[in-house]
Amino acid sequence: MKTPPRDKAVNDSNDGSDRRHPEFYVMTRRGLLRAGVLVAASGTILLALPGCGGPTGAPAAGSSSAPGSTAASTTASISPAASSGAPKTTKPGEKIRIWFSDTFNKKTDQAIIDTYKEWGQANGIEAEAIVIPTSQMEPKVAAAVEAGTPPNIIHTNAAYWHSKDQVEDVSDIWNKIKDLEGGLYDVCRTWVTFDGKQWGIPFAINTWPIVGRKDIIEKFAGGKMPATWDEFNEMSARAQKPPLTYSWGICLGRVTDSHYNIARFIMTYGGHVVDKDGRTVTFKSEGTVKAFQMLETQFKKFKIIPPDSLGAPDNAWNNQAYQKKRVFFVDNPSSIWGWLVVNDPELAKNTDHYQSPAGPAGSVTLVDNWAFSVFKKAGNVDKAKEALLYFSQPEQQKKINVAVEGRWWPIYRNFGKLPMWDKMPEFKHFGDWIETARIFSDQGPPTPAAYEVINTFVLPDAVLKMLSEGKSAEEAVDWGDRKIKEIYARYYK
Amino acid sequence: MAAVVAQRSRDRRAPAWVRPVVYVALTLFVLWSLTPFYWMLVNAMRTDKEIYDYETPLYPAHLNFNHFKELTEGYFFGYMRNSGEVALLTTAFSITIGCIAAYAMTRLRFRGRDTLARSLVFSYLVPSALLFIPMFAIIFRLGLANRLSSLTLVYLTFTVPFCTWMLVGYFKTIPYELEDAAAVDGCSRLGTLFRITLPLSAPAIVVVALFSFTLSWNEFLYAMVFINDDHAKTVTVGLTSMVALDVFFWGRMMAGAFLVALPPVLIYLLAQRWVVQGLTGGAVKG
Repeated sequence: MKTPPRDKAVNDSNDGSDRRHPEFYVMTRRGLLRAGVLVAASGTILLALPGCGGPTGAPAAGSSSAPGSTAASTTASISPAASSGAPKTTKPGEKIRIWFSDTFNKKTDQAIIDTYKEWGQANGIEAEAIVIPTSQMEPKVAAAVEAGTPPNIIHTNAAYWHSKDQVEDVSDIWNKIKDLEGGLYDVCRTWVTFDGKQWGIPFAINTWPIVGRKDIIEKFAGGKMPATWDEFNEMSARAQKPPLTYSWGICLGRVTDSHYNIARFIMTYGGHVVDKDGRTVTFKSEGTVKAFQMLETQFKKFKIIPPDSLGAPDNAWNNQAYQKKRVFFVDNPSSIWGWLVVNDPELAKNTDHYQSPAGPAGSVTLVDNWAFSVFKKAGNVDKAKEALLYFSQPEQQKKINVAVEGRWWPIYRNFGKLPMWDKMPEFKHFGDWIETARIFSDQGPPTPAAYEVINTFVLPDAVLKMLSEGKSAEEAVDWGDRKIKEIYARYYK
Repeated sequence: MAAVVAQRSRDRRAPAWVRPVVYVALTLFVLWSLTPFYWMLVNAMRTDKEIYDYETPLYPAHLNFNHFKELTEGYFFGYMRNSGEVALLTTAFSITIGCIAAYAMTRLRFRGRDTLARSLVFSYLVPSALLFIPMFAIIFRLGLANRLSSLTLVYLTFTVPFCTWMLVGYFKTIPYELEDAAAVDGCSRLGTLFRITLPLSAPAIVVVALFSFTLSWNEFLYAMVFINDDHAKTVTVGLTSMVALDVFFWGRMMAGAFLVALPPVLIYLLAQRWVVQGLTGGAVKG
């Protein structure tokens, strides 16, 4: 029987190796044992390191902030230590955990962290605010809630978690702040109100203007953004040079932004996904069909939408497409402008925010809100609400909004008049637009059903049926109407 | 005789066209493998504006190391250290437990041995997307949330079954007679394992070590869910933190991705001799 080469490794040399097979020469049993001991020792040492064996020894982000930022506010409507007015010693084990999505701006993230920490220090409670990248938020929150260990305060989808009975009614906080500093915008109420109560407190209004090129408007539209979609189409067709450049970076593929883009487009034609009651599906309407027909015209006749927009790569419709100058106009939040200011100042100077061209139902501004909700199962609900109340006070919001540098619009009307906005003329109309702005669920509240319509891409799928599968606008709308009704039927029987 | 051998050698020689075809195929394969590295490096050395420029050449217009510098200003190398700690610990424990378990399954007779061996494969096949929520619940209750040791603990749940399963196949190829001879000479069971079996299994151990290391180094889902503290994040999660909403910091990400890819590549290069032997050994005899 032929012996496998490995068997020859049975030693006949003094050092325990088989010289006929050099591959084993360096891997002697002594060597292996030594390596094992070394690895075990390393493991023990590593386990003893603060970063590995225990809670990380390094301070949490923001913990090294300047003392000035954590001093108790003297001018706030509600001081951090509401009861005594003086900082207290932290009670061991008492902790309020806060998760929020990154804001694109490190100064803003830090301001949010510092505000909660300030409250915690004044109340003798550790307030740990953590920035979670947006893409990681949903799975993390889902895991934490399922495990019964959600953080106390989360920047999340209040409607969804209210439907799961996870979030606390925060109407009391709402009522205390709603009339301060010129009052909160109406759209804030719409965003967090269900069943007549508030389930979250907004801290930012994320506006979706049309981000566009000044030079194109100057050269091809006489310096004024086209007032209607028909004028927009004509200007666009003259300005673009496909396939290198396209005018209209609307998102039509299977990503959530498509819903925002298409929903706003439909609204300008008087179409609505649901009625004001938030339950009756009204997608199938003359307005929606006309909006679909106009999209088809833009895509097939004027060819002003990049063809790959149907596949939804970032390159066709979003920040990247605009930053690469592949498209002239996009329907997206002002994060684009923020990036340009830092990375492409020349294009930033040549960029402005516009209201959408009008359809038969006029022009529409779409916004979403960022809001904090208090989670019941986290415990310490009263303290969490105190922290949220402190965070939502005008004094704190003002500090945060100054740090934001235009990334979002403040929730208090008067803060739209802060001197900082004078330096940013690109935002001068935001306050007016938000007064009449709508949210993605249009007439109704942002219910879980409305979120499911977004997350299952019904609107982009309906558009794809028309533009990709050759269905007529009526057929595509009919298909979308059926799908939306199926979703709503599951929630409202 | 020599003439016959030469004639056979000529007969066996491949046609003339084979060599160029092989070289072309190998060149394509090398390009296929190296292009991602090249592209990462090129974009890491471009400014953000150049990355977004419409007409961007396939090479950097000038060398710009700002993105690498940005990484040093952040906590990126802390993420690398965290990943290294987790990957090394997981590897060490996986090998230790895997070797002992595989040895028991190949050399000891006990009830349920075959079932246990089969269940190893099944436990390895359960996707982490199904497990991350229950795992998080367990980790939280153990008080390990936000600690790197939680990752090591969870990674072992899929590295140990695989390592054991692979080592079982390899251990079976080692003749029992060697161990019998050792026993006759007075070697204990553990002594046999450490003095006979493990040294002979070095290639397989290297392969499972590499597997454990790369799997732990690259893992994302558990690391994302279990760890919140920025200073305890692993590098895969740290990289995705460079996407803020829908804004991608491509230059920094590419610089980071290039650095992240280096350790596994270097380890593979250093250990490739054993890797090839271990993999082919397992393939033929496993």
